[in-house]
Amino acid sequence: MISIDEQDLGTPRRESDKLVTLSIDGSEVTVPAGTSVMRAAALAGTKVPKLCATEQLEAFGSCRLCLVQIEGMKGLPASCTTLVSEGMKVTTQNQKIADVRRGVMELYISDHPLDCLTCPANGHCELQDMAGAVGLRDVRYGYEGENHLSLGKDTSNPYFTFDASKCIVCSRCVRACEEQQGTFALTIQGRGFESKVSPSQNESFMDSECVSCGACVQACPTATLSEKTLIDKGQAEHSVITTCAYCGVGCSFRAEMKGQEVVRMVPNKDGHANHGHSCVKGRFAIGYATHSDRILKPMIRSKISDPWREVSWKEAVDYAASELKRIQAKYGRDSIGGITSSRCSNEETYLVQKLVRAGFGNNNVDTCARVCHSPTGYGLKQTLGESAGTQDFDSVMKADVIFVIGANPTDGHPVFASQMKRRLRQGAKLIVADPRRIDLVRTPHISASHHLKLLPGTNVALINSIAHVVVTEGLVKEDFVRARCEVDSFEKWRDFVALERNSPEAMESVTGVPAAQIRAAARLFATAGNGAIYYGLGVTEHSQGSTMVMGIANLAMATGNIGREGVGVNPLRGQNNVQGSCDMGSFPHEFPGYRHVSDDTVRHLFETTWGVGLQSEPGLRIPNMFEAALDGEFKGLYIEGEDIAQSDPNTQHVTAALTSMECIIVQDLFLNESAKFAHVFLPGSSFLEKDGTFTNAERRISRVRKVMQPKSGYADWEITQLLANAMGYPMDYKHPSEIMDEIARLTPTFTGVSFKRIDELGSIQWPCNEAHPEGTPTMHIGEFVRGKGKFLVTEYVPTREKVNARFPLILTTGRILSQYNVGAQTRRTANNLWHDEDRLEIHPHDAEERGIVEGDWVGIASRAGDTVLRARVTERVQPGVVYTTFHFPESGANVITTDNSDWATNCPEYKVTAVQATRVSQPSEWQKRFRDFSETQESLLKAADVSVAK
Amino acid sequence: MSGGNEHIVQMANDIGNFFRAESDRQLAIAGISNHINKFWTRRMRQKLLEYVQHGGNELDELPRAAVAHVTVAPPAQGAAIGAPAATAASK
Ligand code: SF4
Ligand code: SF4
Ligand code: SF4
Ligand code: FES
Repeated sequence: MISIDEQDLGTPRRESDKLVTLSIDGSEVTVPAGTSVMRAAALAGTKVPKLCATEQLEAFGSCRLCLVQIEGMKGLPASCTTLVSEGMKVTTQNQKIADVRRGVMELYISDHPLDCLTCPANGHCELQDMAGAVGLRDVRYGYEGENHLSLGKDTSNPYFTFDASKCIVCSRCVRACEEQQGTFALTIQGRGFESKVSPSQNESFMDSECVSCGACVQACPTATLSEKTLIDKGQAEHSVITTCAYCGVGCSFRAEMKGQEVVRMVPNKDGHANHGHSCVKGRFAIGYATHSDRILKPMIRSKISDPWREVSWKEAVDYAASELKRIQAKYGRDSIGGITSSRCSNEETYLVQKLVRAGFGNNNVDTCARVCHSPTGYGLKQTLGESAGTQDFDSVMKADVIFVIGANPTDGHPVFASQMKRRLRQGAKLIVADPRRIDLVRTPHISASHHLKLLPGTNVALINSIAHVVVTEGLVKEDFVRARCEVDSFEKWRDFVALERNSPEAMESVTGVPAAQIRAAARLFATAGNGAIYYGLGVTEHSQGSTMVMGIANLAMATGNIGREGVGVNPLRGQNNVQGSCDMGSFPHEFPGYRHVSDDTVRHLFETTWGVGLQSEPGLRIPNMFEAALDGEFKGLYIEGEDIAQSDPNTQHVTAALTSMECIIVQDLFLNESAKFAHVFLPGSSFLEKDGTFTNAERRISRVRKVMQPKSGYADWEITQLLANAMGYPMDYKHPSEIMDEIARLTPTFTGVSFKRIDELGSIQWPCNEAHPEGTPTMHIGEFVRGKGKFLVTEYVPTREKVNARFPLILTTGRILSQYNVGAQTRRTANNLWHDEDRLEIHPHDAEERGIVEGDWVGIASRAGDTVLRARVTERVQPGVVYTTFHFPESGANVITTDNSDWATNCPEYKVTAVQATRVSQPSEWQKRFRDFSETQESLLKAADVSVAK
Repeated sequence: MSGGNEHIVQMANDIGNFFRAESDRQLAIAGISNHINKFWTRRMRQKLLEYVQHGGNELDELPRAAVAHVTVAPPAQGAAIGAPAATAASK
């Protein structure tokens, strides 16, 4: 069922410079060439009856309900498949048309259960509407004939049901799965009366290839495919447009509401990032927001071995402030700090860094982007001049060759992956560089031209050898480089990559990728037309993360693939607001807008606006905070929306640091792993409970809108404000829009941004200022932000994390579609049905050598620690490499990862850990300790009899 | 420093490894010291300097040469930190 508040114009929008004027029932309408008659009619205000057509899908022309009469054309053409032409005269209603339409409807209705009054789609069923529209009064065939009314229901999917008795075989679901999602899980099996919708080979939805994106559910015109929440709660009465709080795609949704209760989330067809599509997380996995684990009252305790005590907001905030002040008085101004999260809104993040800089009087503020995309910010700023991706998502539709490096879009950025797959099905070429065979390498109707299966940790060697081919085979776009880049930096780089030691042949033994394959991939990328690079954490989370980002920028510049649509350097940001949290100045060395704290002019601007003197010295990054804590110099920490005890590497090091501190304040929805080490717990609010903005991977700022009151009484920005005031630094914002206004006043790339402007435009891609009043979809057109593009020499330096006889395997980590990051949200939803534990993927050869079979418990030991996971034996990973996800805290994936980090930003090297794997029969010592500690902490929570969500 | 100065020495060596690719030695040294001045806290820089003064065995040659350009002097400051600035217009 489409959204209650959206109008379906029947067929997709077409773009064309050529406009066509035609007449519909006597009124003139002008539309772009290529538009269907149905859509033109809808734009002219005339609804032509339809069943198999819907705006999200290409017209199919099967139901014959949309017939019209067109002067000069024979018969009654279907308006959904007939395109407009100049001067066309269309009649949508007359007796002849009405008779045919009624006949069509009669056939449908004779095989449809007439339980409209109790049907979940009642009021929004297109079949019901069409019966009304065509004036059906009577069904001559009776209801006694052969029918499908007794067919069963498939309720296997946790979020939607398939009630076959209601299916009219319009194939909208099948086409949605193909065109929108690109999974091809559904088919129409059989012919004529026997035809029916079938997931995979007559399997249940759960057992099929279905990834539960819900596109088919939204496309279904009847109640055949319905959300279970719709069945349970009934139709919504209003909807509010907001933004998904999961990944960096930043899908726009209509939250369909019944009062303050969400009935269902429906992707917004006008959403600029997602165009009406979504994945299983954003559409369905929102149950965490009302989960009974949510803590709704503030709590304090003086030691982490004490039971929690539920207190008033005032008492909690006063206690937190007095502790922070006490610590500063005793250990110095720099002994406290704050950590904000990419899960927070821009306004929340801005306030946290403002509180730290102005209220705490130091620059000890950092964000979880430290552990994911900080090298992107650094590497792109150095080369291109701006710490952000260069394109919008739609740009991929103009790419001719797509190079995916260290990213797994179908799992990590599913809605963008669907768009990318659409382009690949249209014929764009694909190169994948990844140690593991990600799904994109081979998926229905797509097959990568090259899968460069490199060894983890050798990215820079790979990019250098690709560049070597480009340079030595004369594939450099010389005119672009001469006109747009610093020529001396180019020449230095060119001479460097041309060195024999960087050739694919020389690097083959390092990367493990055959030289011929690298040469072929390099030629394809440099010569196929528009080349677009997409990369993820497989690039950044390495000891040479920043170097690799520079290497990617070098390659894009050398091949002239920057500054127009269809090309570019595109970091796929993990979480919803990674880009925004970086933009908002949450790194210790930068004010909002990436301006260094030592820049006197900038600092004075902030000092004047904020009314206090500010430090000109960079503060501590997250890993430096841990070191300083262990040194006894860092004692107090305010953490908003982040779970460092689970997500940061070398868990035992992190927990030792947390244990050594005197006051940890955690603001979150749940008692997360870090909160188990906390002294103050401030209950946060979900994205449904507050106003604000998120900035996605395309620099797109979208609104998050409050659809219900904060369950704990305060939205997160209000809590930060309470803490600031209690610390003696006054803040008095009445609404998050005032915070954005302040950001806009202080940040040159944001001067044109306001809530009002976002409401008008739908969303805005920064920079948005006088020069770009409607934002900037493509950056670096004509000129780089830094003026001339700068090439940097990127020598390959092997990581110090080396395999040896004791640790012979390389462990690399990643993510999965159904779970999100530390899993705090998705683990509290039915998404666990797809993934309820982290497993260790191991190649059959390595497994056999160790006597490991599928499902065995495997001990994984590294230089940092050890843990136990169950084995999944698969050829997806190559021999010598093992892989796991880290969505479950008890897995202890980060107990094994080490302190090694990117040289420039200290982004941890999550992707390379030398390990040994052995068959074991019991959990690791760490896991036993973890279990005991967690049980103790839970009992300390219970002892307090705290208020949790209903 | 926890476990001695291991952590900062490792960081400085890692930075050195990137800039070693720069063929102009003076530029490499400037690159390393700028990076450290820009991203490390004063306390961390101080520790690095002290480490070098006490021998600095584990620090590679290139970053060691850059240490001479690492600054720890208190920077010029506008208004006193945390004290009301000239035009207090705090929200
Ligand atoms: S939910 Fe998505 S993947 Fe599953 S069948 Fe429907 S469209 Fe296909
Ligand atoms: S399930 Fe719905 S969308 Fe699919 S064929 Fe049946 S009625 Fe059409
Ligand atoms: S793709 Fe990302 S933003 Fe879109 S619905 Fe899924 S999780 Fe949300
Ligand atoms: S809507 Fe046109 S044929 Fe079905």
